[in-house]
Amino acid sequence: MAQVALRLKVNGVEHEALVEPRLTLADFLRTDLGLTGTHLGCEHGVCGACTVLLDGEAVRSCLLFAVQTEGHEVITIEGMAQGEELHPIQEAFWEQHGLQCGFCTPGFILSAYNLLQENAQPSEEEIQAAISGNLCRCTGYQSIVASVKAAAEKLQLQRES
Amino acid sequence: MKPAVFDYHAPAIVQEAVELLQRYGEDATVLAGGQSLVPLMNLRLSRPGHVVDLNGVPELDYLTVDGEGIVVGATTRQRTLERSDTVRDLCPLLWRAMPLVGHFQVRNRGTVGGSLAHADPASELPAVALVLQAEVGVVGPTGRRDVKAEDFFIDAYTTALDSAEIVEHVRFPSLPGGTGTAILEVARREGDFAMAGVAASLTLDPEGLCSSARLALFGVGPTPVRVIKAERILEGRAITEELVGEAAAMAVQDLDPSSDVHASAAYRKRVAGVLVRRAIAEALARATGEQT
Amino acid sequence: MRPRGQSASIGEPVKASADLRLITGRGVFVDDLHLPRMVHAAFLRSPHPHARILGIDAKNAATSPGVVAIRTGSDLNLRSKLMQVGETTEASAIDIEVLPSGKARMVGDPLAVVVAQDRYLAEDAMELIDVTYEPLSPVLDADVARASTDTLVHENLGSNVFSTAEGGYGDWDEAVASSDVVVRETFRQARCSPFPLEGRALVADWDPADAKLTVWSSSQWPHMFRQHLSDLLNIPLDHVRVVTQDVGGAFGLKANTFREDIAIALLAVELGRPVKWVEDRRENLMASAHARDHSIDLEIALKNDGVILGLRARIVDDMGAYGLYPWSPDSWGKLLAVSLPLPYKVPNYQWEVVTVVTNKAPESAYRAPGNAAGAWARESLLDIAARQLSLDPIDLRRRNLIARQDLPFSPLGGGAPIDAVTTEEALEQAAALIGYDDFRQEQQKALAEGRYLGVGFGIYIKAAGRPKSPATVGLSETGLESATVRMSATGAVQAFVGACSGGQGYETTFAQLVADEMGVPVDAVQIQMGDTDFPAESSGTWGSRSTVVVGATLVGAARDVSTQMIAVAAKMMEAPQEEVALEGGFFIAERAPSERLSVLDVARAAWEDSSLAPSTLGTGLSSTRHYEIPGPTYSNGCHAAVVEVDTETGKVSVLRYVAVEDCGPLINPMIANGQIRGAIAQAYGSVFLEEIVYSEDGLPLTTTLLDYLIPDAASMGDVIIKHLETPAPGSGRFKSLGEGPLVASAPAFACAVADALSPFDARLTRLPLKPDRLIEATGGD
Repeated sequence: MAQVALRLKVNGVEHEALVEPRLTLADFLRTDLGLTGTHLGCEHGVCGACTVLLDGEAVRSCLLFAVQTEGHEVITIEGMAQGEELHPIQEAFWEQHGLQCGFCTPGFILSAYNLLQENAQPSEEEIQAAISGNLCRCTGYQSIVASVKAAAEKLQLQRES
Repeated sequence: MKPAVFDYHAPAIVQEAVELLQRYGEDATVLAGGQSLVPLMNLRLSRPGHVVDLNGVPELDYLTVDGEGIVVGATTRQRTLERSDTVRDLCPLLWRAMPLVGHFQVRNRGTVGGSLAHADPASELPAVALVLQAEVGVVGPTGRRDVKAEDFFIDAYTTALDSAEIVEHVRFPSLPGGTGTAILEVARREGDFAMAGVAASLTLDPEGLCSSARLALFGVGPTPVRVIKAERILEGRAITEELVGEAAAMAVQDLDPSSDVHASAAYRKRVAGVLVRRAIAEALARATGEQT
Repeated sequence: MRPRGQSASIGEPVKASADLRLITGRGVFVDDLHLPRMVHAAFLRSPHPHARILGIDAKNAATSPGVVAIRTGSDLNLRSKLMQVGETTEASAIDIEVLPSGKARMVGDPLAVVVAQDRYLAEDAMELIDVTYEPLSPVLDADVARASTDTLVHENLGSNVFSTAEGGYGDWDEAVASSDVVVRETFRQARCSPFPLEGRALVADWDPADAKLTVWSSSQWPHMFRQHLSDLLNIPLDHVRVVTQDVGGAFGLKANTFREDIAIALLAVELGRPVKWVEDRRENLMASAHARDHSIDLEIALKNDGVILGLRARIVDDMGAYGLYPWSPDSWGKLLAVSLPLPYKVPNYQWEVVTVVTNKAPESAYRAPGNAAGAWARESLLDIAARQLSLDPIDLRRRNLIARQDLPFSPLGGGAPIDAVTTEEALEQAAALIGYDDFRQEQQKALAEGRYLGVGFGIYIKAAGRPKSPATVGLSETGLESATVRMSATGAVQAFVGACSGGQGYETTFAQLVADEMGVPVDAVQIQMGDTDFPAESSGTWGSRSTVVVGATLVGAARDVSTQMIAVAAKMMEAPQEEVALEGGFFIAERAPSERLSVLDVARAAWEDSSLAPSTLGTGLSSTRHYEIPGPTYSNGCHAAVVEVDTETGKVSVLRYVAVEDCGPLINPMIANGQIRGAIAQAYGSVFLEEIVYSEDGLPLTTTLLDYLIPDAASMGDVIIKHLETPAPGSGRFKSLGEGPLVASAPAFACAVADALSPFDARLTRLPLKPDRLIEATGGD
């Protein structure tokens, strides 16, 4: 099967690879790059567990072919913390226990990242709407909404200081 | 759940895309936002031999103001429209429809042209195109042509596009002053496909009479439908609650929706009437300035 | 050591330790494993609900790129013992082969397995396998299946009825004769999916040098799974190792041993290379297992004042095409039956459970199996009775609850006495928090504006931590649990437990228990779990048992190690043991407070100097304990919901929701509240959204997330939680929490909708309460 050359940046690092066109971005990240924090929960674009940032925007990586990211930049959950230092959104999810089994969590964190970039102080309804494209079976969502709210406050403090 | 093998083509210009489609015929498919196509490919319900990706065609991604409305390039993301003040000011119905299209992560990729070309019977954009009397600019091997929205949607998932044609742009005319619009739908959850929905616009003349009414239903048949008989009831008259009820009844009279796991046909028909009534009321409130 | 009872961490919202790896993408789920030489499997599944298999031709598939092996039932079935689900004649008539070779009995039945270099290639080859079917007419409806004699799912069974069981106590006829009114309704709970976000998944590897099978599995019960692999594949138990790392939710689905598991293990043994299989979402929704396919015909006999005299239940349970190893397929219907009278005093009770075979996916346990559906039916019927008798529904419940003065209450149907429950307090507090006193006024006012509001309550008492579960087969050791706690020479505390976590936060709550018992900081305790090679045995994490069972066991072992340390410190300081205490990380002898020994000093000495050992049986600081509590503990709770129904569109909005829970002393409120909210969301799903649907031809119509809907973040608003913390009697103190909230929540939602639609006399007897059903129930189309 014909392979296609691919160059992209993932979590700040340039990668070159040969990929089959049908390889989804999610599988490329997980298998070729070993970034297994991106999870596959449905592979048809509904559950949101595979959410990554493509050029800063939250997208389903199961609905993109890796070849489509040629020349683009991808951020996965592994790219959120700076070394040992958690991203404020991660901190908030930990403090609020905005997760249980953790399978869906990377997707929620990246969706929250995109939301908070565009809307620094979202209302509870705006948070609910924004994360309703990510499914969680464990938490009942209340702690996730609280996490996003807390993250917004943390980011606000960070901006002020 | 992994897609079957295909060859990938990433044309840089429209002409190249059209040539590829012509070369591979029925074995080729156009990839725009991919939010409907790729799930089908992952499920192997769609297995094109050749995928022609339009995402690398810069000339298809734009949003401009043109005379009496806006022109949107085919691969312009739905999210771009949602975030655009121009769209909000010149095409408020289109702007209001955007948050109803899936979830924001889907709209970050989903395109305007893709949504129209996919022609899902339950999707919002085709109904908006009908109400706004949009024109779909199409390009193919024999050149360019404009297709009126009312002629574009043929059947469920079927449009007036020939196999080697693609949507190049969509022109959404602005509505005159004194117009109010609304789009309402009922879905099982927010972001789900509508069990029934309606897009509406009402224009009032200086005396407060309805000079133009346009209503399009979606999710209740194979294509979105303009319900002109219901519009006629409203046009030329002062809109009263009674008249709205009459129009709503007329709007659903000829509907023949189907049943699925989410809702019965009877429910869809009934709730479509409710939504027509509510949408007219909301559009009217906007036309008179009582509501923004 | 800190005196017991002076808890430093119990009751505190200690941050969950597992969360750190999960929020940074460092969790290890089965699909994240990449072993050298690993190959990937995909299953070819039947597209027919019922068909004879005339032939399987894999010639073309075998030469497909990357294919390593293709196997069918004729290759594998004789290499495993039968996966018989029970010891009855009926159980032996349920024909469960690893890969069916004679007949496909459901859409999704696995007929062949392809192993290839990657999953893409495996799926490519799978499409080239040519199966010749002779389609048979399917049986899909339980009532039709019961009556049918010409279409049989399992010919050896002679009918489509797996079993008919009866039970109860007292005299139903007598209850009816003495009653003023008998109310009856048939309730239909929808078939639904447990739906963990991560589906079934395993990697199996065979090491020929050690003749050892290692299986990494997304499981709720690695030890039970090891037992099953050993039994079915005839490999000695200590040559099987099951490892369960991060589990992406389970909810009952992963307390089964599936045919696919056995097939993958067999292939690993045969190929001598690691084989991975991760089910995709379509397989999960179509072919893993469903749950709760119950029809409940319920009658209740009452006096005019609302006192319950008797209850009769006739339950039909659709078990699907197979049982799931090792559970008896009638377990869930029976659990429903026996749980029905709780939490009320029902003097006479009669039940019947008919378990029927159909051409659908098999039925699994799903969080609070039986209990949740039963509670919905029972509480709904109580509300119907209250309306009929013109009684306040809360008064009716007050009159019948197992109340404080009834404790300890011996269930009339048998079982351990119920004690330390607070049903009345829970009900009164829920009523107060939801604003019940003013609600009827609020409801009337809204009604005058054309708005339909309703309130609903759900009450439960739930047992957990049974030493043995009567409803299971092949699980003679379901009470088994052991834990080992040891303090190493470096002063670190390691606790090995056999339970495993699928999001319950055990790594944290168990560490809290050990830390407080030993007087060390929580982060000094490492909880090791999910590996059958660890020194701990377990029956797994299901039935809300882990906190009760593991908690008690772990605390006992931790206490032993504390005692050992005191003994060592006392010897080192030449002081009597009772005069040595641990304060601020140092051992201090009463008579010479300036002479202190650090925990590390004592730990090192204990391991290095055998003369200091407190017993003659060995050196070091370590203890293994087994679960020793004789009976279950009972949790209770009451939930209340206020909803508004748009009677034009059938949309339901949850306006207020309160949960009053008594799960005993809270170990970690943050984690406990997460369990409660998660359970409520699952109840919301089964009441409003979730339904597995088959077409009339037996094709599953809900195999994607566009069709099978689970709650999302916008589904409902906040839940207000109030805890009553009544300790369980005996040494354990802790009660369960995993399932009870779901049992209370389903009726709270459903009864609230029924109350809102009472002006229409709406009959809401079928879940989920979809908008179209609600409109139909109000007399709309």
